[in-house]
Amino acid sequence: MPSYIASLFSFYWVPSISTTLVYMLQATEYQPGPFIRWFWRTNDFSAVMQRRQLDPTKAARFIRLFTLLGMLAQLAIGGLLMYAGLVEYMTSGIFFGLAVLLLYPILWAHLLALLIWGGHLTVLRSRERNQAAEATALFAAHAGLKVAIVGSYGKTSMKELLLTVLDEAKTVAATPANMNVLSSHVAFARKLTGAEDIVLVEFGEGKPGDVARFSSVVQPTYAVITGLAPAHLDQYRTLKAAGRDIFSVADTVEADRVYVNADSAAVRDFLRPDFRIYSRSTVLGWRIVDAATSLSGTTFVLVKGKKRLSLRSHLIGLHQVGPLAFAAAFALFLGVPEKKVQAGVAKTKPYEHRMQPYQLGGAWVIDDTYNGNLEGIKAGTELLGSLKAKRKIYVTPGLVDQGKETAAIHKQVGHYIAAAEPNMVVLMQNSACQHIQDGLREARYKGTVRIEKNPILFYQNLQSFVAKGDVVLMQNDWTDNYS
Amino acid sequence: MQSIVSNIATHYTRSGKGRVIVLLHGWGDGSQSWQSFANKLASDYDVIVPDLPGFGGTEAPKEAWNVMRYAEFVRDLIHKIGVQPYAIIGHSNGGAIAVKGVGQGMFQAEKLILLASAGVRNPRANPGLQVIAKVGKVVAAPLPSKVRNKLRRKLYQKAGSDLLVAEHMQDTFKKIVRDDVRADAAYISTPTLLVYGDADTETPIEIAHELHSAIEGSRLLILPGVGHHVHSEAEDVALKTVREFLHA
Amino acid sequence: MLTIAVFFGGQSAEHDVSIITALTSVIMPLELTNKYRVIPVYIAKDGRWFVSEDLKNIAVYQHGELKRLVSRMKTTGVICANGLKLLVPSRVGRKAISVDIAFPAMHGTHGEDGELTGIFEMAGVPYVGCGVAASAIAMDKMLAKQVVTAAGLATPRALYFDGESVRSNSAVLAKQCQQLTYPLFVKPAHLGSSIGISRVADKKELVNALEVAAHYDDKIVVEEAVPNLIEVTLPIMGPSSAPQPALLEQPLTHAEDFFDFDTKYMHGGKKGKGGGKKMGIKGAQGYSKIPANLSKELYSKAEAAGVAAYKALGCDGIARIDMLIDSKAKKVYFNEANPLPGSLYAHNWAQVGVSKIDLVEALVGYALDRHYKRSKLATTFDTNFLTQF
Repeated sequence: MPSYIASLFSFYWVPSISTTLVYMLQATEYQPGPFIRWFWRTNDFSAVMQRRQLDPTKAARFIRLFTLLGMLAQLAIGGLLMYAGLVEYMTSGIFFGLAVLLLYPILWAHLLALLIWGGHLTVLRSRERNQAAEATALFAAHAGLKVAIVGSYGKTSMKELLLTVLDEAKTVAATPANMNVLSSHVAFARKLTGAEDIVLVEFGEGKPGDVARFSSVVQPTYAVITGLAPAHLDQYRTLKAAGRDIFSVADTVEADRVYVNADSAAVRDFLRPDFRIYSRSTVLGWRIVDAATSLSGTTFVLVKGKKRLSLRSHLIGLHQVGPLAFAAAFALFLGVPEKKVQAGVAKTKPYEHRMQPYQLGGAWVIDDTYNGNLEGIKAGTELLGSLKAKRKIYVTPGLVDQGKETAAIHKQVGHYIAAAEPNMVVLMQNSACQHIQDGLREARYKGTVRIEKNPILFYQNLQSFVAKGDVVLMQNDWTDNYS
Repeated sequence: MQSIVSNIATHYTRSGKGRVIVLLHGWGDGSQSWQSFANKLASDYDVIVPDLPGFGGTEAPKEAWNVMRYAEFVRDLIHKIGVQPYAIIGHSNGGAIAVKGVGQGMFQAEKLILLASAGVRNPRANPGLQVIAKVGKVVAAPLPSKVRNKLRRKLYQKAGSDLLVAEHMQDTFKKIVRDDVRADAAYISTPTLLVYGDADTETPIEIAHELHSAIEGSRLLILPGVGHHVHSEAEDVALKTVREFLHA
Repeated sequence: MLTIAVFFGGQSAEHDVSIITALTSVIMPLELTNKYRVIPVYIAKDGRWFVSEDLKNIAVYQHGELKRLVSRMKTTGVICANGLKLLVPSRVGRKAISVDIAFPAMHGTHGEDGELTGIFEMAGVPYVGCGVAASAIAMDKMLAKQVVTAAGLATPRALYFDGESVRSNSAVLAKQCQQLTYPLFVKPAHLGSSIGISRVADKKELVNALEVAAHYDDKIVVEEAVPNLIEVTLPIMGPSSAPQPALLEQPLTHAEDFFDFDTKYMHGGKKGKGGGKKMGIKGAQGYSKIPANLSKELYSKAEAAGVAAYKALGCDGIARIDMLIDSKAKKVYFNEANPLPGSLYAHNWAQVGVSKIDLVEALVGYALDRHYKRSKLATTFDTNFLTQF
């Protein structure tokens, strides 16, 4: 069967389309707007669930059953109408019945969006209010230092770094994995024993007002702002708006307890003189010297007067030096002994899919597929450029969520890639592809450009392209709702 | 070890010193199904364990064989190795082969031991399932072969059939299950021990009683709670009984 | 776009291994280059040729799909005139596909031994890998030994017999072998895998081993075992004039059980599925050391011997030379040559910086070069023989 016919049928296969719709709802975090946009963008519904499956939560199962029954009811009504049309010689009945019969996937997609929107207005809002009140009380009652981690990128790594280093001498709790929304903060607050010295809370940001809301709930003692870059621009519209939201954390924290990553160029517009900054060259009064990186890790030395502290981490890339140095200096500031800081930093290693090197058929592959912003692209391409290799391959589908800036940002991506001089650049056939190519052309890139239709297939076949002495950097893999 | 027996490249193991015992495995097994049992017997006997044609490391027969052909093969193997077996121990289909061979005088032994021996049509085989199989074949014909094979596998599993255990040997299997060795059993005058488990569904104790009454003077031992693989499921008891019988 | 036909499957014991070689190490990398149109030519166990895009999918060869597919397909024919043309069944009759380059991915008899290559030669199509003579010599263990010996390379002392004499008179032949020193290896001369090979310690075992080997082949080689054995193998590519070796690879199995039926064929062989799973290429890779653990001196000695054997046999394109090393005497013996190593030994090439794609592109390049050079030679001669008759 030709694939376009198969995909047409996938649209009309009731159990499968209902599952797909609920999956799309779940993947867009039950936001009606993105959900509907995705729905209209999709041509082949059989290809939607490529990377993941529906997580069968209670809510998801309920909505699916509801949709399924609704669709079946609609089919029955359509059938009845057509039957009535035939028996009663009512031609309009036949057509109307047919329309009712055929329109069920479209109708139900919108009905779902409408229901969710209504749900947001009523049920979810009040539940959120209750959750916020409970979490506020729990955090207020906690005696430990509360450190908020905010930024458009690097939050999770900063949280893990601080956790790893501080854990050497303190009792530390941190919000789990990528759980950085209100409901997960409540669950986290409930689990705190009260005996923690330090509580690390990652603030997720997705739309204006998010960070301010989290700040009022957690009332942090310290805030770390890991950087500002174009992300979630479909909601924030501009980088400025995103910056305003992120820096709103400073409204609840004393200014000299706000630490800002100055390596992130975009933060400069929001810096205040009483904020404390950290960077690749300096951190909390320490100078950073002799920074070096390779596929086996990164080393640098903290210097203050005659004091020197050598540190070594398994993380790779010079962009890690700033955050690593901050984690070390912050730990020293909180009274963690030097030896323990060294041991803690030595324990830091790449997280899955974040500048994580592994070997494939003799070649090195750096998996940075969870990276999703321009800063990360810059850091990765810089590392690729600095590495010695027989052949360098760079793979990216580009960045998502770039709003109106997408053309300019992807041209910049092209420039960054060209500067690393890879032998081959692999792009995916998508909306970003042309802009990256434009950027490569502007920067007079001379190697091969290869454009792939199916990213997953390319990842599977990667081993055919490489051999010993080669280095491959894979940055940013789009999730289903962006392809 | 490898040897060419009646133009079939044959794999067998041989270990231990003493009087020669030949072990014959059942359908779908191979010499390795005797491994532990054979190793223990090898402390007192010269134990020879062939992979029968179509199993383990031995070539499959070029045409479909019946029990008679397998018995002839065992005769040729014994001749090729150049030994005179003191005892032959057969499990399941290997038992049927032993009964055929000894009953027809193709090879001799001083002792015959049959563990969950086959050779009589399974009285518990479900004739209804055979009808379903035939009908199913017609009904399933238009389905893609992947789906069809899956269904077939499911059905045979339900029916408890060994047909798909060695798919390349289907025709041989069909011939073998039709063979009935009761007539051959009646000719056996060799001292014979029969051991069966009462939880065996593949060669249920009805078969044990049939063979027991067919072989004059044979001894029958029924092990409670034991299934088809007597020598591995109840190794200690089976080994002890076998040793005593061999010693007597 | 050049059309490359990849030939695989075939009437040999290594039919299945050939499918893996073709699909994973030839067809996939060729297609990933986006430079070639790749035609899979599957040769069934009964010798029929089939062409279909479906045959590029590994799933077809599992779950009995192949049987169904092949039963519905018409066979493909071949024309050898002015290049190679495949006559592929289409909706109306057959359409001819012109092949620009032939890429054999076959192992063992009828594929690796020069027979298939002969068709390419007759058609005058560029093809990958060793020519007819080198393939035929390499696939006869005794001939290969004789050729490399003539080139001054060492190989274990050996005798050979024809199958008929073995079957009628193995005891007499065993006596002739007294001039060799035990333990001995007995091998069928032509089989690619180690089926039918035994190591024997005395005359009685030898008689039996000769019979076993004669069961598989009409030519049987009996040779002395190398003491203090280190086995190595060396993949080599390039024209005979300029061979490029990969790394010496050392299979990590003991000499005694390497040829032993139980270890090689009985692993996971439960429930008698035709002798269990073969220890295929993957297994061999998993249990080998690259580069081989040898002293510098011995390493370069073995490498030089491998390259010399490649040249002596007239190998061209790609081959793998197996060698036996007496680690105490520091002596390297030629063992045998494989004109088309399983999966092209891509795992080994990757260790010298040659990716699967680089490998197939290089092989295609050698094929075209050779064809171009040969096309400049005079091949037909006009004579007036007939008019004078």
